[in-house]
Amino acid sequence: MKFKNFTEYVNNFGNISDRSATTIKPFIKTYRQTYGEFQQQIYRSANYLLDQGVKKGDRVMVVASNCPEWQELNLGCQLIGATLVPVDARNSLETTLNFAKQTTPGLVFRGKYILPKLDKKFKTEILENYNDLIKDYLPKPPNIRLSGQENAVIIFTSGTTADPKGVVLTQQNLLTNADGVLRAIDVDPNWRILSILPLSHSYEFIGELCMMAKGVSVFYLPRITPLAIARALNDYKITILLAVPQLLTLFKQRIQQTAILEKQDKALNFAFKIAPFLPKKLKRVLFGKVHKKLGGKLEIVITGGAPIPTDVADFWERMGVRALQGYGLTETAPILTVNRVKDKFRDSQGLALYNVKLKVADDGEILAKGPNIFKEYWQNKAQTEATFTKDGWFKTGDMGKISDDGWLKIQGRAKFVIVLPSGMNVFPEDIEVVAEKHKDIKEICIVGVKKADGEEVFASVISDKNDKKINKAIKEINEKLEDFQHISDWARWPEEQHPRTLLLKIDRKNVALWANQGVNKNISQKGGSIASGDPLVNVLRLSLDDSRAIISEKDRLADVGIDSLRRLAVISLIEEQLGISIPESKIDKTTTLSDLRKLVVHGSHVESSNKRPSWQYSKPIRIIGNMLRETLVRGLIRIYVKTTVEGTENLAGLKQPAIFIFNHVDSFDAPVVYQSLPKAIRDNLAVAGADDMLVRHMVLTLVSRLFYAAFNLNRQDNILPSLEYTVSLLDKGWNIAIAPEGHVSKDGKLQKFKSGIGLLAVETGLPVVIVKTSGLAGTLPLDKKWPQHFSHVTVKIGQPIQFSQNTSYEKAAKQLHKLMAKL
Amino acid sequence: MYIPEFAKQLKLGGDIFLQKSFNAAESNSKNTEHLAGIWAAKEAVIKAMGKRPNKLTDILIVAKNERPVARVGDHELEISISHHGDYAVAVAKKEDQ
Repeated sequence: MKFKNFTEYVNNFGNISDRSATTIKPFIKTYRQTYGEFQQQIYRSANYLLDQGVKKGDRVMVVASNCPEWQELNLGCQLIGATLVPVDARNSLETTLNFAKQTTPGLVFRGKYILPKLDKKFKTEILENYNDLIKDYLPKPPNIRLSGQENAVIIFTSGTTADPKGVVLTQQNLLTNADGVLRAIDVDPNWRILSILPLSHSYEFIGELCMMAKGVSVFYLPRITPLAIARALNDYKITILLAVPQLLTLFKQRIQQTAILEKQDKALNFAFKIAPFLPKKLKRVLFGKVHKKLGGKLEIVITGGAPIPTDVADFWERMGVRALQGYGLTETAPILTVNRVKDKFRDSQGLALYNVKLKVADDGEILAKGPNIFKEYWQNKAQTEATFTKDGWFKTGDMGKISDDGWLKIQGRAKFVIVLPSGMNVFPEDIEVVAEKHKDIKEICIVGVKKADGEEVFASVISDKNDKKINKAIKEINEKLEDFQHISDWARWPEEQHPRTLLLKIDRKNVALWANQGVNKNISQKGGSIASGDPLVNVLRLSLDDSRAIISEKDRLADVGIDSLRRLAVISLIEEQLGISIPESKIDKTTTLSDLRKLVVHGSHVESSNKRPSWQYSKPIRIIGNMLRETLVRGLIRIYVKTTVEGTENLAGLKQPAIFIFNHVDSFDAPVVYQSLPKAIRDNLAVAGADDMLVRHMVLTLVSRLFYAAFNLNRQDNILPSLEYTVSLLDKGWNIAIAPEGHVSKDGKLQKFKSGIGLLAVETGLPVVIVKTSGLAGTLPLDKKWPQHFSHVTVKIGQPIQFSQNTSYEKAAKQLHKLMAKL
Repeated sequence: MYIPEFAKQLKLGGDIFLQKSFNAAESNSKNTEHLAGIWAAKEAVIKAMGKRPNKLTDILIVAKNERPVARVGDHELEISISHHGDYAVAVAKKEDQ
């Protein structure tokens, strides 16, 4: 798929306008748009930017996490030839300001909670409000001609203190790279991709660009945690992920540890032994249980950023998930090589893209040529020139080998960039500049020490101070660094001076060698803690920072030193490592290890959060249920209750789905309210019932589900999943009837509303209709099985009201309460 | 609250710990000392109310007229947070006292 410029790229969305483009659930409501709608938003975005005075070549900065608005802003910028400067939302204010100082953006978009101090120095807008900002602009392509040579993005590759280098990529750089990737990987438009790496990283940026060109559905997360990812894999039936190796390692550990806890580890090991002899389909059957937790649809994971450990890649391959890896740099927009889906797994970074030329220089450095190679470092001619050979090859700075049939294998980083397991790059020079200023440090050399899934930052120190003082110094240095740059460990260089190169610079290569061989043994002894095969004990030991802590099953956690702080750390670790979510309120001072084990084994897997019975919403059941309700049930209730309905005219022209709220005075109120609404509404109406009521009475549960399409709300400890479920029903077009008081009113008076109703009304923005009954109380009290007396009931239906997005939940709840009281 | 210990548990529990402990408005600053102070305030609120909420995030520490207050449901408690060396200390005052 070749696009000359982004005008053509965005035009293409018109050919796939019915396909689902982006999905995000920022809170409880899911927002989706098709490529047609997405295209319109991009056009609005472009016109908005023009109106803000953004011109061709101007820079626009974005400091926010991934979301559909991020892409609307990005592609809007591209359409008018402006340059986007994406900044990782995890960067500090200082770093961000440094990037801004260089690129002088006319407009900065930031996440709601990210770096509010930027507002003082720049014209800023909140990215979460983007759709509001652009809504009044025309969804028409802007009248701007693009050549494809425009600077599309400036992505910074270096950290705080050394001069950051802004890599300038043109529209052509990006689009030719996307073209190359799409020729190498046969993207199926029916894939569903989860966006987890930051879009400010060129790898995710190009990944999404490729997927969107094919009409793949992209899913965004409001927060990126292993838990949120696991849930999303399941909820969205994700088929493909772009990830850093660290995530795959984490999931591998989680699968293994869960198996140990469930005493399935032997079965799992056996499965892994026989897996290589099976075809892919059978592998997936064999690991069916694991796949179910991963959503059941995950087919491909493409890793980048750091090399994937062979055992981790092998683990995934054996389960029937393709683990592909690629190679590239931001400067190469970024993909140079990638493994192909069809090829067998091999320990290589893959073959070059069709439009990329690779060769290995005499000193082993990999050189690259192609239309994707970057134009320049932003306002840094000297650096730009230094990264190209005389005959125009880009020097990657990586050492490697290319086999005769073209497979690339990276051997090391010539530039000594330390690649953390997370894929973040740490530049030793950045740390040294800071560290050398410390009075207790004579000389320091930062190198990467290899760990199982990446490198860690290691310092070789020369100082005449004692260990305690150096520890303190390192701590102080770390405080001045970005989090990801922190020095993890250090050792004294055994001689008075570090070895030097001919140019009298510290010979980093030799120091790195020493750090990785000699010192490594000591380090692993120091940190060699985990001996227990029991993941729970390990988690407790980690929190206590005592690798030998002996904890028996009967021990109370509080007695071995797990206080409220450590308790939460333990719960968090269990959630991350085992994927099991335990409510905080379930653990207290009296909880023992054995209690905790029970909670974990029987605990809810975070992956299966939204499991609720849904048979009552199937078509045949609804037909039967509605029929019985209209005849039999209605007749029975009529014996006891005579109803007069007022205000039905208020429902004329009501846009469905809507939320109906009623006062809760009697067991009969839901049936009465149901019957007072027009048939077109009530045949599509689901009633919310309290969890404790519905679960306790089997017959009542069955009856209410069958006749009233009822679902249960948990009104005690965790209201959010219940609300999410309610919204998912509304999303599917069901009307909802709910009693916002929570409990039956004993004296018939209207009680305070739960703020949950406010949340529901505000977040969904749907019309709320008040239905008030009077004269019903006491007909069928909760504690009685049969009606106590006959009654004549008046049902009043109010006018629908809607709330704007910025109303507070409490205010909405209060207003609804007032209106119901008045009705 | 002993800040180095807090920092250690924060590092261990990672993002999940952060999300279980703090509301978005509270964890705006990633400064460990600041977060330890808020944590201490939440513990103080729990002691003052005599009851642990279901979730720590049910307690919201915000600035009101440049003074910190804690909001728990409909209640609002006055609090005071101070740092001394490696310790963050907080006091919470119940409304009716």
